[in-house]
Amino acid sequence: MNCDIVFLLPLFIVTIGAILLMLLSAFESIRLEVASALSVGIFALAFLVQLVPIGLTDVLPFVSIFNGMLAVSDFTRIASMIIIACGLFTAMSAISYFRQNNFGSLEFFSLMTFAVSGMLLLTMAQELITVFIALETVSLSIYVLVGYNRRNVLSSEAVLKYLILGAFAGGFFAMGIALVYGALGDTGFAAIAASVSRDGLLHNPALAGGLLFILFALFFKVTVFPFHSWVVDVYDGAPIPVTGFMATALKTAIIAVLANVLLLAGDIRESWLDMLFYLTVLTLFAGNLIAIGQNSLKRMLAASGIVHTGYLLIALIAVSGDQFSGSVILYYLAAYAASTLGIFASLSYLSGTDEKRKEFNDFSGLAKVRPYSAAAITIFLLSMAGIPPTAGFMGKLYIIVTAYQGGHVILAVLGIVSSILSMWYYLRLIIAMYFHEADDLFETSGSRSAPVCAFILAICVLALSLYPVAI
Amino acid sequence: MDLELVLSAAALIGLAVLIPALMLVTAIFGPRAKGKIKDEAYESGIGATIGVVDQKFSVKFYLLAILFLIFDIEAVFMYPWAVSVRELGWFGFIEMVVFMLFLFTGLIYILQKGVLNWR
Amino acid sequence: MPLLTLYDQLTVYLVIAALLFGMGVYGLITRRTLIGMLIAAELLLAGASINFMAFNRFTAPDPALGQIFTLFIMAIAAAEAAIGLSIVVAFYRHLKSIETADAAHLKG
Repeated sequence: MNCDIVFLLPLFIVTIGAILLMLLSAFESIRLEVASALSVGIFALAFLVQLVPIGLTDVLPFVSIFNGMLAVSDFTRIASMIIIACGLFTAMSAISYFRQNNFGSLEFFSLMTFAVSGMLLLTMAQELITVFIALETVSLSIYVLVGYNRRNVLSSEAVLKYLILGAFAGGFFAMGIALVYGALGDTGFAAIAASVSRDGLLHNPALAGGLLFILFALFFKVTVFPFHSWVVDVYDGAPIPVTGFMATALKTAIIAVLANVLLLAGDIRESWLDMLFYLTVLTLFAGNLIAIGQNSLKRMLAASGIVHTGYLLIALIAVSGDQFSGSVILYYLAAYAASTLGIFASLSYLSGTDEKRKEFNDFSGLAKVRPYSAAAITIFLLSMAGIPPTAGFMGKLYIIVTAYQGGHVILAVLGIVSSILSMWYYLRLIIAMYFHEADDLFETSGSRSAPVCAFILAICVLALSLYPVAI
Repeated sequence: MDLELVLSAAALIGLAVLIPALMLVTAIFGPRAKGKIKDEAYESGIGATIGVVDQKFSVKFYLLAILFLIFDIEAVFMYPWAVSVRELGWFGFIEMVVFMLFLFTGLIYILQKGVLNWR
Repeated sequence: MPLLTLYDQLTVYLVIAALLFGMGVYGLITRRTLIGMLIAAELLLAGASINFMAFNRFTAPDPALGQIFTLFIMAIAAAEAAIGLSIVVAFYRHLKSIETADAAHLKG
């Protein structure tokens, strides 16, 4: 009982911290730098508490109060750690970004902390209603964050697109829960798993339809193939730190939910293996094709996020359900989060006033003017492309080996092919940075926090590649 | 019993069919006069349109309406608690106090931001 | 004569919920104004709520769950509408329009 509070403490810390930040921003008594430092402190504290190990099996904290709605295990713990770290680095790089983009206000950090608290709840949720509420907490905060630059037309358009489609997905999710509730009279994952393993999925059409609706809504949030079209525009319109935050923390949280839904009962995944297989293949190649055609860096990164979702889907298909530790998925998420956050942290201070540097060509000759920044970006890009000795390479390697061992040889081969395709657009930026002449001075605001952030993440990317993972 | 049901249902359906049918018939065959004054909407003798309809409202109205919407809806969570307040006891009471405290922080935020000051 | 006992059948409510949900999907696809789209999104949630109450009344073993979730849906729908409206207001300040056709600066 005493331990239970420790398991939920990160969630409490982040939520109470978010409310505190909100009150502080109401009184407008602190400066932006202080708010950033405060949120970094909150995240750091939550991260430290989260280091306490839990164990592989699910623990239900405070069963008498929460009635089994929440469960924690090492999987949720590490997913939460990734999310909290994403929040921490975003808060750090946002402060450099707001030096050159003059729309920062204190509420930014409060909203981001609220989003993180929703994501933490999302990883622990063991029941669909809790998932829905956590998902809406995250979505509502992120809508506001995406449209944070109210003076920019692109930003408000992006948030409109995201809001309308997000409301669509939310409606589908609610309808899916209603159907599952009608079929079983219960919305817990355990009840769903028990019913599916007893009678099979298709025995109960309402259950199958409801779960399909829920899967579609979650697929929308992680940009799986037929639901991917919003992502490029929304990432393009959102402020750079928010884009980085969405690409990493949101994806981690939703993938954790998908893992909980799909893998809790292996039978749910078995019934839809064909659908998942085709969606994975299409996601990989749609993402690559979109990314190859882009000239804007943010749009390219958005499209490459679709490809990384494809890799995570391969892992979701291939890992074995009965002894699920999720280490492969978590490793890939950590590697991807470190490299993506790193590149967005670098962009936060390099993109200049009002994000004027957006295209590949705008970064020509960066290596001549700012060799260290260029080196850091190169490390991040190599990691995303999957070239050793980076964390991204090891992540892809683990996923492909898992797919091969799980008998999904086609997926393993397609994963390698897609990785080769993706070199095209990652190397394009490296070539632009190193082999072109500089016609720009790349002036920055002089704020040190985003460069420090990029430096730490570059070390993380290299250090993570040495971390062994049992497949 | 059955006959009663049938009759009442028939009466309901009859009404539902008859009234629109009559309205349709009068609309088609009835006499009508046209003219500038006749075509205006009847507003008890006052000129039909006073002022501009699509005038701009101050954004304050929207802000207040949105805030009302949110705080009004939050009250809905107190109804189930009120129904079972005795079974839930002190635990439920403390939960509700925590919930109200969270709402209260939102209210403090609004007050501090001066949203409720009408000027 | 089953006409007067319609209120006591699960199917009726499911059909109404499905109709609302279908109208919501249709509205989101065909509406050209943002307010219309927000209304359509609310219809989706209303359909889900009606489904919940119907299952809650007729089939579920635990009568509290569905009602509570309907309350949650109401609160979330209100929050979503509030944020949606404020975004629409912000958008209107830019373009003096709430037509989606005017929101064509981003080409996806």
